[in-house]
Amino acid sequence: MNRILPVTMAAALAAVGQAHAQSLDYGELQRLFGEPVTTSATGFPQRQSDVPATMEIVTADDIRRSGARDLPGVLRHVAGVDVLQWSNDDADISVRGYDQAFSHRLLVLIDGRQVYADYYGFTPWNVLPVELANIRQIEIVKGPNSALFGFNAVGGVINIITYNPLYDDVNTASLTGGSQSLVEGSAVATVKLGDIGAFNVSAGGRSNRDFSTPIPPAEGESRVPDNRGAVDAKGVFHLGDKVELRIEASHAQADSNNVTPIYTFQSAQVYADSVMARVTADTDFGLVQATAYTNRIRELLPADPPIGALDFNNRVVVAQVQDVVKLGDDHILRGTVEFRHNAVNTTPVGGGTVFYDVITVGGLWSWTIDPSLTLTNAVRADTLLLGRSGSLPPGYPFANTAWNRSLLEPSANTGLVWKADDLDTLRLTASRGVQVPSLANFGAFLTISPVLKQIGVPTVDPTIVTNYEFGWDRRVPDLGGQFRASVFHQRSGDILAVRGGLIPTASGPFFTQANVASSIANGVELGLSGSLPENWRWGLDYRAEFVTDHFFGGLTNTSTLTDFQHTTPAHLVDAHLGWSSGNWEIDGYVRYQSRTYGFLPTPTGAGVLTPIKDYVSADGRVGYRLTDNVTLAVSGQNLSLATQQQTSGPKVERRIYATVSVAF
Amino acid sequence: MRIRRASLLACALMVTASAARADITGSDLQIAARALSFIENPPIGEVRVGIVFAPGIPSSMTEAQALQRMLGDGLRAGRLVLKPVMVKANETAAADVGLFFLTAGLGEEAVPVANSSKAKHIPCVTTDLDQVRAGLCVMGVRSAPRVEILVNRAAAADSGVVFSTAFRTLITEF
Repeated sequence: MNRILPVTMAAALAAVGQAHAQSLDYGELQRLFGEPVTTSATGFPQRQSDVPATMEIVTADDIRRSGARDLPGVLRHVAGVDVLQWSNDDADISVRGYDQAFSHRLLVLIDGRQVYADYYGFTPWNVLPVELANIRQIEIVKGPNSALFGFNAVGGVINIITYNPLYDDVNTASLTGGSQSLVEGSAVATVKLGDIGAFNVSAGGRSNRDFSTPIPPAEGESRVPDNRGAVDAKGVFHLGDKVELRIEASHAQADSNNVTPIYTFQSAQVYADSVMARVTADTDFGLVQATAYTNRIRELLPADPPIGALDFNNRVVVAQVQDVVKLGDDHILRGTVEFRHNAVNTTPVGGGTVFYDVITVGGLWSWTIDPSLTLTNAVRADTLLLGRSGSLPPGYPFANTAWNRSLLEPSANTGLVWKADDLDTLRLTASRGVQVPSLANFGAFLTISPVLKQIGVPTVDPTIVTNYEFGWDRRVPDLGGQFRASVFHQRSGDILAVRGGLIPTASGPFFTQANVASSIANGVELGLSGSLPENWRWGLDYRAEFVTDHFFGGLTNTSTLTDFQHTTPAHLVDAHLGWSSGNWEIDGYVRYQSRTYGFLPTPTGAGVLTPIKDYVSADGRVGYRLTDNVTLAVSGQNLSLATQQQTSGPKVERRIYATVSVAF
Repeated sequence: MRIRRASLLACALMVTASAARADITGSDLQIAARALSFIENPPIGEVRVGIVFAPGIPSSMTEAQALQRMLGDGLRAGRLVLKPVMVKANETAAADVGLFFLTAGLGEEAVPVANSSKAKHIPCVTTDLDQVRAGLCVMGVRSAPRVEILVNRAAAADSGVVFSTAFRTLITEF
């Protein structure tokens, strides 16, 4: 730019700011537009009110005022999110029902890096290397979004966005103590490096005992103390005016008590490491981003006869390049290519490695037809190349060549967003998502003993989920909030279960994982929220969902441990009321879940459904800002009763804790 | 050719008058200042804002005076401190400012502003969205009922104003 500058302007420009070209300054954009900005619906920045999807965004303020001490505690307040709290530190989460032990329909990411463990089909929430105080916002996309995120984004996507040290100067430490012998510390520090860049380091540790409520006899016998430790460091550096490098490394580990995919109660030790590098450049060809990361997880579960001790060692390597370009005034294009390698050893019988490589090509086109109407189309083709290497146990019904299989699965999302007037936004969306079997499903899980032969197999197929949805958002200025409604119809084909297949052999039958059913869900979500009168904020959300399962052949729900028809609650109500004034903040949350069912295991390996009565749970937080830098808070979860049956697992206990937080 | 087309459009604007005008508010100023932080080599710190008005258009005078009162001795908006300087529309070529704020409804009298903005690479902001559409100003802002930012790409290019790709996905461009 060639300017003739007045002296004052020259002086100002001597301290010229960096162009906000690469990583998003979420905070400044939110202050500018008056609402959160997200990339989780389309891969390019959009205002929350413009996205072609039903999306909830939990802000840092929401997280603080939730009083939660972990991510499931935050997410249990989000409309339409199902949480199965199995123990003090283990929960399974899904969006719009279909929750189960080892929930595998929800893709979870941190800053776009996958943390969902697809070797076993679950999200290890307590080893995610993120501190609540370091989260800027949590973005929850409802419905399939495989066209953007790939496999397993079929029920929904949760993308956890952390603070960017370039723009956010977060320095905080907190100490928490409370019931169940809870002691927890957490800290976040930001270091600026002038014009070069900045660092953000976060760390946390927690120790507590598990709930002491009885474990259902069929599920197990004993508990271990829970503990968690995590550290994450990321640096963001300017490599030029328009080029930025982000590097990040993390480590986390946890001991906890979990409910397994066959609904037994077991302890588990999990260790997780990751390293990521990302280069973002604003070029003449658009905003180009290249990302490479590797995740390593080791999971140890003790023997649970007749199943031996499990020792998974999983490695994922991902390399991705994407480009976002705006053509003319009305068209935004996004192209992406990705390679993923995922491998894990067989266990408890070792000697083998099951792996797959995925090659991905995807594209998105957003067309602003006129200022009030936008059409977005995204397609993606994932080619999965399955393989197995290593030894085979005697009598195994497959040779390694059985894993020489390729799967080509397209996914797609289309959305029409119409801003009918200044108050109303209407959305019509359709999507096709793909849930690929985990490596355990594909054969990494391998139990061969005199009394039980249970294996994954290379022949299982992906689950295809299609979703059709109509949504309506209406701002309600008189309430300082909005009304939201959505109606959805969802079909799931070839649902995968841990039981359901049988291979007879001379040495006895092998029980296998299998595609067992299809399922249809119809639902409606309604929500009303506001922030008036002054100092108050409130919300009321309701979800009704009705699921029908259709089993293949002679299969049944109990023989397959699959029954979304009865385990998805028909009615879910969330209410929130919050007040703040001066140094005080007080928030209360209530959830009602209608009667449902859960699975209990039996000695034969089949399951039995046990009823779970409808219940009301209540959480709350009272916060007091002692000084500009010090805040005291008392929080609690499950406050309505000392113990409460919320799942087929042990009853949850009331949790109360106090936290002192210091910002420096 | 572009300036002549702008002149013709300016004449049309005088006839259609106040279709997209809105009284300037403090929120509009905040939005304009914050949006500027997303251009390449954005200004930070103290910026002299040329409040461009036409003495012969009473509504323009009124808006200019209101804007001057709002800015006072300097208004902090985002990363900027905006200091007002009153500038007549036909005197922008000599204005010693880092930003033009174009009052609404200038019509043909805004053409010199567009020329100055182009020649001196000084961004121009307005709440009169028709002036943006006509190419007489780079960026239009609206804070209510919903924040809207409109950018005339040709005027922006002429003025040396380049927004990041990420920001361009969030705004309306003509």
